[in-house]
Amino acid sequence: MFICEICKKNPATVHLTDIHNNEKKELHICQSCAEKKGISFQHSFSLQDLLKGLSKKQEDRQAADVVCPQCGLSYRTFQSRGRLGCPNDYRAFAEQLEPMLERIHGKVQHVGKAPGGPGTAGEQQQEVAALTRQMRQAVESEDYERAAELRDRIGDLKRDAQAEGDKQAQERAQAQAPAREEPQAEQSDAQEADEESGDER
Amino acid sequence: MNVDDMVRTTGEWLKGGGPTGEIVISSRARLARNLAGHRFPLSASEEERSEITQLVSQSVARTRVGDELSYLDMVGLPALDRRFLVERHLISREHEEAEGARSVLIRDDETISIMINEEDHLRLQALKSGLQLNSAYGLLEEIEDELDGMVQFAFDEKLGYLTSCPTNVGTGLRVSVMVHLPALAMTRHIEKAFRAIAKLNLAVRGLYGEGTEAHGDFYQISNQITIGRSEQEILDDLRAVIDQIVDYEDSARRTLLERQPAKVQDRVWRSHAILQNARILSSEEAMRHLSSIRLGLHLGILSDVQLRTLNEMFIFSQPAHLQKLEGRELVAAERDIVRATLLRDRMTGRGAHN
Repeated sequence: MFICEICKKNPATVHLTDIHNNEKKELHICQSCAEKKGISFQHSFSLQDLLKGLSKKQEDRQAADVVCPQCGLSYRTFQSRGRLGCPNDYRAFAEQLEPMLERIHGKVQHVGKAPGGPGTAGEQQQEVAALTRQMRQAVESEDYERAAELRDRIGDLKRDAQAEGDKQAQERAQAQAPAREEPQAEQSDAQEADEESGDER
Repeated sequence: MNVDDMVRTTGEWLKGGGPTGEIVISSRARLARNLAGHRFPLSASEEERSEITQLVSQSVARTRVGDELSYLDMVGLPALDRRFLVERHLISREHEEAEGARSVLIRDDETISIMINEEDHLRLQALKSGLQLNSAYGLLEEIEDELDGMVQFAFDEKLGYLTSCPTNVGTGLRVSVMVHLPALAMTRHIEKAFRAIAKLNLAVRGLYGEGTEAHGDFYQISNQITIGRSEQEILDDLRAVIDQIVDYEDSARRTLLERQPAKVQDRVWRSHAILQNARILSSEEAMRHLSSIRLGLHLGILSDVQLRTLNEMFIFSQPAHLQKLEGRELVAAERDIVRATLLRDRMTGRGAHN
């Protein structure tokens, strides 16, 4: 981490590259010295500003003394360097981080990929995921012929999986409750997609 | 492969020819991941950093792309080589300047680079030519899936993947495209476009030059929000905006050519003349003229330069590249002379690599 080249006190969070007389100069300064120099950042996003705004509250002064029991980082240190110490900090500083995360990202609920996803799923699911990925890439590079081919293969795989699933469900249902009606097989996504495309292959 | 081998080659993304390559130079995706139960690199002891470097690089080597990756230890790598990798977009400035155990794995075609112990334990990056965000992310997703079975990533049901900086938490995914917008700049529509982009929670920064000022009208546009949207939504959101920016730039180029043909042609041919004849060129001036040539090429004003040669000229006229090509250190004044010679040779079809 750089220390501000002007006040030599605060950590440098503003990094400037200046080309003057063909000489490239780099200047690493802190936010407050940058403001004094009249450098404004309309488009850049400053975590420090957000932190400063939040720490104005009295209670946050006490909050700054909170220390993560696992890595020993204090919230105060995080405020000055903008980087957390370990994954557990998210729990240790949950109260302080939550409003900040909301300001940065809006909705604070992860909806993306999770560990143990496709990588640990069954082989067939993995193949479907890989083919879907290839299909998206084919569409992107405007190779529609290949995209259609991939779509059909995904359709076949899904249909197989569906048929297998139905067979198992049927067997289970028959074994558990012979008197109950047979479960109706739902039309799979793959079949729908196939009907939409309708091209000969 | 080592840094010296890379001097005379170019990465896949530099070859140009990707979709919408006239306006979109490249697409990049970056995934941040950390190992559960370990301190983040900035707080970790040197011993822990070494342990992480080893664990991660061994795991990465076992993935399907493992055989195509070259391992570079950042500690002990000369400063000029580190700067070269930054210019090549393979490592970040932070990784160049940091201290302590850290490394990078680079695929031979330079489409993938994996930084270990940057701000996060793992920074997976993919770079593709033109507008290919899905393809770039697809490369990372495959490696990440495989790694997921080998190591345990720091993850929280609510917050997603936990990162050293809260601005990356959730998906840990940052996607960006490098765009060339000379016509929007010439017609003074660029500020308007950027204001609209900022409202959509995307960030814009000039690629070369200070702040949002860009030499040569190159800009990087990326997502700011990493949590609350799925990976595909993040990719699609950026893609939708870029499609519009591309349309906007494209129509500004056509309008310029139609209404002020002399103005555009003059700019292009002046730059052409300077690059073919100048004996001293600063990097700022070189960027500006190469930008004009790129515009002229797309508008059919000139055709004696290949897009690939043009992309190479951008990369090779950077300070560390010039010094690696010359095989010695050069002060700024010397570099300006070497740069002018290099560009002159390339513009007149001499001294091309490969």
